[in-house]
Amino acid sequence: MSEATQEIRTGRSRAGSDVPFYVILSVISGTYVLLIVALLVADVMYMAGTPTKIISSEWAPLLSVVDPILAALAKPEIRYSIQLSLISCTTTAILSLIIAVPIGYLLSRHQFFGRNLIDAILDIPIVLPPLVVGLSLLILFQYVPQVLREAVVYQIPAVILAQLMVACAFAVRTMRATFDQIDVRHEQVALTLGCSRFQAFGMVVLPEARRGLLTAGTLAWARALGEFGPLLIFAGATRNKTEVLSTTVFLELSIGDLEAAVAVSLIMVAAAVIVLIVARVWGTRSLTL
Amino acid sequence: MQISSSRQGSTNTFFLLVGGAVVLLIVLTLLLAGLNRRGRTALTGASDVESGGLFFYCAAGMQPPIEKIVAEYGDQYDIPVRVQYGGSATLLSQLEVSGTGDVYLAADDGYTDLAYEKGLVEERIPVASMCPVIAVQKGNPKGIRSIQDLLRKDVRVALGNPDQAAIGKKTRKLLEDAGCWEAIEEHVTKKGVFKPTVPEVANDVKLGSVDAGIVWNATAAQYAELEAVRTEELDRGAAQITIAVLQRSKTPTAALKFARFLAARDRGLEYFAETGYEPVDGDVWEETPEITFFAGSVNRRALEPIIKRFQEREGVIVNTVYNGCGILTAQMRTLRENQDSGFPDVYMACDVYYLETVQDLFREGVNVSNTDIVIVTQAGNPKGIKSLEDLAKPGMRVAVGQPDQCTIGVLSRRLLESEGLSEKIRPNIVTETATSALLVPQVTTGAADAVLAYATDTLAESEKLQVVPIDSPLAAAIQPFSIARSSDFKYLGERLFATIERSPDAFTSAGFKWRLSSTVTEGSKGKGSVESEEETGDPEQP
Amino acid sequence: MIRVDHLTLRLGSFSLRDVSFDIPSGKYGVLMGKTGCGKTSLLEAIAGLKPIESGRIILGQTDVTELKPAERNIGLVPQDGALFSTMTVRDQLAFALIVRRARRDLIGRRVSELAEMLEIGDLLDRYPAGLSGGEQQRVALGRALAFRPTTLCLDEPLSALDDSTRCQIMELLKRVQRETGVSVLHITHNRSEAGELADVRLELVDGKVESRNGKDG
Repeated sequence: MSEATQEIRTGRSRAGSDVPFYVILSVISGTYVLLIVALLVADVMYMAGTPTKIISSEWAPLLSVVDPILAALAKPEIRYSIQLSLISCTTTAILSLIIAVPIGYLLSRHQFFGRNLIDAILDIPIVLPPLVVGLSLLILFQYVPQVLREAVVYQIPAVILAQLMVACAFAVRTMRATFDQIDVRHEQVALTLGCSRFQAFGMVVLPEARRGLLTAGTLAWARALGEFGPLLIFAGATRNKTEVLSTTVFLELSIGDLEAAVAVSLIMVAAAVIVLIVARVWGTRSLTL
Repeated sequence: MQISSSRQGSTNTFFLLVGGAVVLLIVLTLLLAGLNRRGRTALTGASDVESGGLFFYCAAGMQPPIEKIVAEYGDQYDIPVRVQYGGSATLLSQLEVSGTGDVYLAADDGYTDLAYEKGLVEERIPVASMCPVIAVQKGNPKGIRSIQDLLRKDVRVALGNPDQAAIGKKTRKLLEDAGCWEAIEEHVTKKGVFKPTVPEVANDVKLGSVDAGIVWNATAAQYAELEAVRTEELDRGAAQITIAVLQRSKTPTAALKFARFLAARDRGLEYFAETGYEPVDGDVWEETPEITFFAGSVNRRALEPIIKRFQEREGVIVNTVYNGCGILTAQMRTLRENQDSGFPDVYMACDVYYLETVQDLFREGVNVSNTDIVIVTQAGNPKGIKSLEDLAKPGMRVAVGQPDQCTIGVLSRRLLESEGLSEKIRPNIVTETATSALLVPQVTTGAADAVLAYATDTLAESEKLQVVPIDSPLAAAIQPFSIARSSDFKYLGERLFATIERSPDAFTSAGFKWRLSSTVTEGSKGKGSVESEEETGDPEQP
Repeated sequence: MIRVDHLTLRLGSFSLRDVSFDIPSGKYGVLMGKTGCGKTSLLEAIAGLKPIESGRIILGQTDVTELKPAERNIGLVPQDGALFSTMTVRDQLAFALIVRRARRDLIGRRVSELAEMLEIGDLLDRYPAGLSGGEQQRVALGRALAFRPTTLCLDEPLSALDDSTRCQIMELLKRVQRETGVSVLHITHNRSEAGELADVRLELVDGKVESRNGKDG
């Protein structure tokens, strides 16, 4: 009797459906994403229905959402604040990368005496309360030569330094993880092929670290944008000088002007979303293999 | 597009990235520098208003130091300063009539005060002081030692004209007080001479046309041929040399800058010192001073327009540091009075409590404004709250500020303790917030039924809230303004205070109550040292 | 020639002591040993990627003990190829020459040569991610040979390959070694490879290298 004449039984799956698995994951993910979106919508709704200051027409009720934002944008101080935020955050992000790449590489590749200690030290800026970071910077600069002090304290460089302290810590962590994931043997082969350490690093390791660089850079940028505690203390909040969007939000909040605070927050969100999307798109395009 | 090139001769990514980063950094730094410059001009107003020079009405006796000051200023900043010398009173009438001019230096502050009352001058800056003396020829040949000696028949006397020169007016006052003015006046009219300016009096003595004259001690010191005789009556008449910026100046910022230069302890005042005057402890000279202003966050809305005006007019930069007062005082304690490290020059706290904790570092404060502490509940007062006691009702959810973290917390605690309600309300407290700004939102979002908050915090959302006033003298935060003892710019700080003094609207429109005197046109306010508390009127009334 | 004299190497928990062996010029040497006994580390030391405690390493006619990896004229093919993930096959083959700043046309010619020898001409514009195990090994081999080294080190080149590919690659290795005349040190735990390929057979046992010539693989 050959097999061909026997009946073929349709196998019925007794294992449960895959659907519950995906449902649970989607629910968790969706809830969190919706929560973030809900925050933004709540902010927008808060501004709706409040009397308009700039727009006055029949469209006022509908556009009342946009009105506080326009009112904020109309002020030259806010426009200065936006420019300063964008420029300083970008500067901080680049400086963070310049610092994080060597440190991340060294920590990743080499076992050296005190490595764990250095690791812990690099995490300190993340752990310290932001106000303490600002205060410590201020105290540190008491011991610094006069010229340097005058150029930094309560001036624009203070903004960048304060942002850098925290943003860089995140960049270092990211770059360390990135280098950890790049196979050591690639550099080793490059060395045998005739590269110096610089060439091996630059021609082999860095290209493979591009995604990590982009992540570290955007993380540092975003962190710098949101930072205000150290800035208030170390850089002050002088209009048209050291005021950035994050300090504006805090200060508007402190005088009870929630509307203005929310308006500026939404400007921040818009700026951040634009920059981060642009960076991701441009970065990913150059990363496609 | 890849970074690692697929062409032959691929570039080393490392250098590409480093190069790119460097280029980007340079571009960003340039952008920042440009931004900084634009911000600076926005802060200090139009940058170069200083073409054309300044016109300076100057009391005649000051010529020796003033000449040098004007020369140095002209050299350094390439701005010609034309000086017109004359008697203080003469100059005053001149500038009143002419309607032009930038600065006025009088030999006594009585003139500048008068000018201020007449609305002719804005800022007044003290420069130095001097005292009248009797000037005689060296060796005192006629042995003149007292006012009485001036009445001797053999003594010819020259005096400054009381209607023209400050020395004249001062002399008249002092001698009136001594009871011998009429006698002297007669004597001088018959046998002596009245001169319109003090150098002319001194010259007369020097030349021998008179035997004695009453001049400033500094004037006497400038003449090697003269000797000064002090007397008790004259010693009582110290005069304050003051420089004032004219209202009608077309370049007030430039005028102020020159006035600052003249009154700076390491510039103009040095010349005054070396020519026999006693200079005040003036501000340090900086072309564009930067002062640091610590202020409680609550004050920001009121202060911003004032500071902006001040910066534009004075051509200075005010670095403002806003924060909760607890944090500000902590900052101050760590900075150890070193203005270079960021210790403030001026400080406006959320309440006197937070000035008291650092009082040793500051001069005495002046209470500028106050904001009431009130009970805030939902519009329509659904819980029927009428007073503090109602907050202790069972089921009432109350939020207050945290006593260790914010001013409202400290003041609320003090208020409740004074009413004996602290323990009774405690079970109803649902949260203690870290800053005052977070209190009103507790009510608007329904997280609490009532909060103890500043009245100013309710302005933005008044439609959604009901304010219940509290009947207690402790239900207010009082904002004091004070100047740091260690500041190098105390007079600048006082001028900032003067600007604040003239701006009650900024505070009232921000929801504060004004505490300073409402009539600020009286001469003595706004200049001189801010030493004592000036609180006029009933503090309870707005 | 690949010669190692009294080499001592620390490997964490144990060490290789006083290792000596000699593979004459142009000969194919196979070093066998159990997994984890230090073969790879030995290879790395010979390439200059791992520091040694004492001893000498001589490649070709040169004592390279003091030299950097780039100066040892040695080609390295790690386990699984370890290709550069962001470069095309063409770029990887050309890499060593690019680093040496060779002329463009020279590079082009050499790449064609290698592509022909290793039969990877149609892979030149591909990225490592899409290549099979055998293709990756070919590319790795080409990359290592591009600059005509005197020594070639292979770390278990055949372990991850299926049977037919393994045969192909073994043939390839034999041919390549014949054509180029490199001295080869091939590390493996598989005895049959030794039988097929080796001119010189060595075994790493208990931290020492012993000759296995004359024995059957």
